[in-house]
Amino acid sequence: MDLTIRSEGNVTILEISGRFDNRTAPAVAEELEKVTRTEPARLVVNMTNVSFVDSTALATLVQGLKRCRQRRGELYLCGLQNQVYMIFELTRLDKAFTIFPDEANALQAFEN
Amino acid sequence: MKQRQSDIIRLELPATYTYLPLLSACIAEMIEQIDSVNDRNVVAYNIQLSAHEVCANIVDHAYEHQDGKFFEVTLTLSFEARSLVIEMHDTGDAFNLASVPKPDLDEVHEHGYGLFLVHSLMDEVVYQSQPDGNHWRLVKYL
Repeated sequence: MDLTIRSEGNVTILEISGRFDNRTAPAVAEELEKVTRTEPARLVVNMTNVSFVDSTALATLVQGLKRCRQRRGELYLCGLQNQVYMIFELTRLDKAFTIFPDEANALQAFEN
Repeated sequence: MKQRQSDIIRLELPATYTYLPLLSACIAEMIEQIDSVNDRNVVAYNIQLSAHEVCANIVDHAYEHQDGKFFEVTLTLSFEARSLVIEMHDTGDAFNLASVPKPDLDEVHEHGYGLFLVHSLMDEVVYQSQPDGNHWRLVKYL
């Protein structure tokens, strides 16, 4: 898994590539913890290149979402591959998260 | 030429997350052997995820990440039945499957989706605690 962090204005973009699972989730959790220390915590998690998500990854994202909202911010997801999106639908986490087709749309939503 | 009846892969994996991607690779290659699978990538992912969740459960609960512990995984691809059967066997602590509640999907949870996903994505899920250890059997018809 690769993890890159960028900023676009006051939004942090966390871009994950590869398998996002119980082996790699701790690194993502650590970054989520760091980027949600400041208020408002505005975060886009770009999952365009994530091929595999397991239940630990879902838990990590839910924790990140809660942390962002506790810090007057929001966590948006974008770029979910079809098979990954279907897991969000099955668990109904597609209702908990705001999910955008791509990063540009997610960033646009923060401007509105 | 005689038609292939089945392909079988046997793995012995240490009780750690490290090598679980090997299982995903085996499943992907096996699904490739079957003609005309609808939504092949989605089907492969669903099986990979289910097998991964059960193995993670073995690592977490049966062995609690103990060094020097192993579990066996047998993958059987049956061409006539168009099925993939994944059997896992460990000798760790027994698991009380009945104690795991189905998550309330109207609420957002941090935990509890793993086995729900396995039951939702596979056609058959059987767990048995026997004198020689714990046996999981997952079946997907392709």
